[in-house]
Amino acid sequence: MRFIVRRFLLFVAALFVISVVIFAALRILPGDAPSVMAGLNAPPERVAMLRSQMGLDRPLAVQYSSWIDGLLHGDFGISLLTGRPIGSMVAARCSVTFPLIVLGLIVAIAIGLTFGVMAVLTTRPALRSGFHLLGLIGGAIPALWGGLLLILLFGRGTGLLGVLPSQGFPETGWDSFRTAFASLVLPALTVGVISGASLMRYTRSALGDIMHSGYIDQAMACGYTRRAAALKVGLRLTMPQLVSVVGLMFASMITGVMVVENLFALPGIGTGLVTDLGNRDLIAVQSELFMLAAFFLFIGFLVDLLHRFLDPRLRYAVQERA
Amino acid sequence: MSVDVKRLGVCINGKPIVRDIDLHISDGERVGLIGSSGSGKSMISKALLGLLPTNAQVSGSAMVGGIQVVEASEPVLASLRGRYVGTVFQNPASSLNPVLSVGKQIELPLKLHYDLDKVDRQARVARMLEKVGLDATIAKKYPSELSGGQQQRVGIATALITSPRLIIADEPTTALDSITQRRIVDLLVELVDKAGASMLFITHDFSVLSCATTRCYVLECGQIADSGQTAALLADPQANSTRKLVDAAHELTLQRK
Repeated sequence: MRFIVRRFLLFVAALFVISVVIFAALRILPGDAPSVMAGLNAPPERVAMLRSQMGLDRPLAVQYSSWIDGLLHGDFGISLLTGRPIGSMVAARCSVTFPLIVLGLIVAIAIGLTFGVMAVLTTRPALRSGFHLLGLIGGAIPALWGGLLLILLFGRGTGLLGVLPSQGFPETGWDSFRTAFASLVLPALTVGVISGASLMRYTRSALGDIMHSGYIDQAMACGYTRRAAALKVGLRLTMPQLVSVVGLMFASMITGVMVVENLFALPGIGTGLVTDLGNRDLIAVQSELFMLAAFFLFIGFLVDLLHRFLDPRLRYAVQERA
Repeated sequence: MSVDVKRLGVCINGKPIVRDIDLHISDGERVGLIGSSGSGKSMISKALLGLLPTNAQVSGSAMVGGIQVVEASEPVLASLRGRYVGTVFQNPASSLNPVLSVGKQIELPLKLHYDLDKVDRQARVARMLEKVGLDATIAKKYPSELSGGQQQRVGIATALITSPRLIIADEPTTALDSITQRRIVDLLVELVDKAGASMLFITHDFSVLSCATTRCYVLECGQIADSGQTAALLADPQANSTRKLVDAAHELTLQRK
């Protein structure tokens, strides 16, 4: 319990530091946000009015505290560009990005674990080399090129097989479940195949090391076959490492899907962030960046907790130190 | 359970590690296999258990309880291991599963080979822990919470829980201090004799071997260099390799005194 409290306090402290960094970075960026938003030939009064609307004429400390106060009360502010609450804008974008990441992760885990374990268990050198090559090629494919390839193969209208939509997301969102799901299949495959290749290499390496350890000999000496020892003991022992990798993968996908979202014209967080940044919608960008950072840290927090659950040695080591 | 090894050879990536080994263990006999590090002792035990790495090539014959283990399939070997052949490894800290409680580890061979309910298995684990001199409450602990000696006792309990007919002890005392070494050897010998099982005891230390076995084979560079009664070899070593090992054992004993 003390560990959880300590980690949570660290999480909060890191959030505070990140909020200061995001706030400061966006204010020292070149390009005055109200001037950019008002346009090239805008009169100074219009720029001053925009500056006042954005609250940028107030002292920095007041701007920061009012932003944080709003965040704590669930008020992310109003986008000056669209006039819509940023909270609902971000929520709408998350409803595209998060399902895409989860689907991508499912594909990545299915590919990474299956092929990683097969690469370790196969006794045929040719097959082992094949898996090695697959991992290298899969990891080296740029998302843009991989996505284009999938569009050319499966994309409706232009693709060879033409079975899946390759552009956009239904305006009614998840109310049109089948269409929404179908429009995420190709993007998820693009994200998943590339991440799956990395996960396959991690799995092969971590499980391969464990297979040469005394733990597997002991498990086999108890009566497991090599395959059963790999699946029931080896995978369990590599789980803490794989959880770290999947956690990092999950968090980095948030920013990693930007290219994929643009390629498939999906209105997700990545596309939104790029648009808002280009329009200098400062309030929207700082809230979006803060949410991404908070999510990243939250995944790290969860991975830490999972580690302690998966590896009792960590619990014992902490007890000993205490 | 008897073991009959004839012209056993093990190559790793084409490089011979063990050559032309002839070895015999009669039913209920305690036999030692001694040699310096890298002489191929562990490779022989792994060959008998079917635990050699996948890039190993094995030749010759090794009959364990009438089963030819050299050409046996994975399922046949797995049904032999843990049920009829128990194994105690060198370093329990790197062989006991760190994420599994002690009780679950000792229970594993029972779970894999016998159709017993959980209560029955747990009762047998508690009895086994008592036999190896550990408190039954230790079953809930993890290996990292135990001392080296306690971990090795858990290793012995895991190997003996199914009352196997052959015990292969691969340097079971190397990672322990001299007092704990003696206790572990005495415990192993007592339990093996009580069960009427055979034992192949592998070590590089003659002083440990003399307590654990009646007969032994001396291994040098992957080949049998000498063999005979352990006491006789210790008292009057003839072969060069045996003399070196006996001298080393005497020096160690003097140092300990």
